Amino acid sequence: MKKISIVFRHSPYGTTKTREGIDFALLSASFEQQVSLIFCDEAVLHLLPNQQAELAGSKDYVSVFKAFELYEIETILACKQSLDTLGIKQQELAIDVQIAEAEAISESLVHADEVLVF
Amino acid sequence: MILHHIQTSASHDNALRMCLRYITAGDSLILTADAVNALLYPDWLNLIAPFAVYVLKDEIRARGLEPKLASISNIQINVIDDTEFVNQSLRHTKVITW
Repeated sequence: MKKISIVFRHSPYGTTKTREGIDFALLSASFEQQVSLIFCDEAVLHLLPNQQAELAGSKDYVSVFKAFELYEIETILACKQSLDTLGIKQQELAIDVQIAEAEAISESLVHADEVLVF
Repeated sequence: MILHHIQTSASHDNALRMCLRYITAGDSLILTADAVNALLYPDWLNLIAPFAVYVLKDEIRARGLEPKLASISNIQINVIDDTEFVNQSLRHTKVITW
């Protein structure tokens, strides 16, 4: 069993990166890997509520993130610096995540067996 | 000791910027493809200076950047070949491709 950290750093709707990262996260979790997610840079925008993804021709990610608990993906970190930069407060977020300082995220990258960035 | 791999130009992708936010002392950087352009920006050079920096020889020669690299004095750029890239990947605990 490996500790896999998946970092999302791209904006929700501009690329297919999120789709790829989610697929990889769910697949890894279903193969009993210990998966944790890290949202940074514009990827923190995934965490905003009341998104209507279909209007951007995209799938609704927030519902998928909510399903992560079923896959035992418990550790979800959001970069505090990215949230602050974008003026987003924790109370606004659609799912509950741990707000993490850069050092905490660095720490989790060190302790993971593998890190993949999407 | 992590080897951070950057493949895109810092002028239109935040890979290098985000990497430098989470990198820890003792980690290394390898810049491939357009990421090598960061070496031409004094600001990026100063930010990557604390870390071991690797670039691939062919990619530098492809871009005719050897003279530019020669003029970089404040930090040491390790120009390596693909075999050494594999060695470095094995020498580090893991590789993160941003």
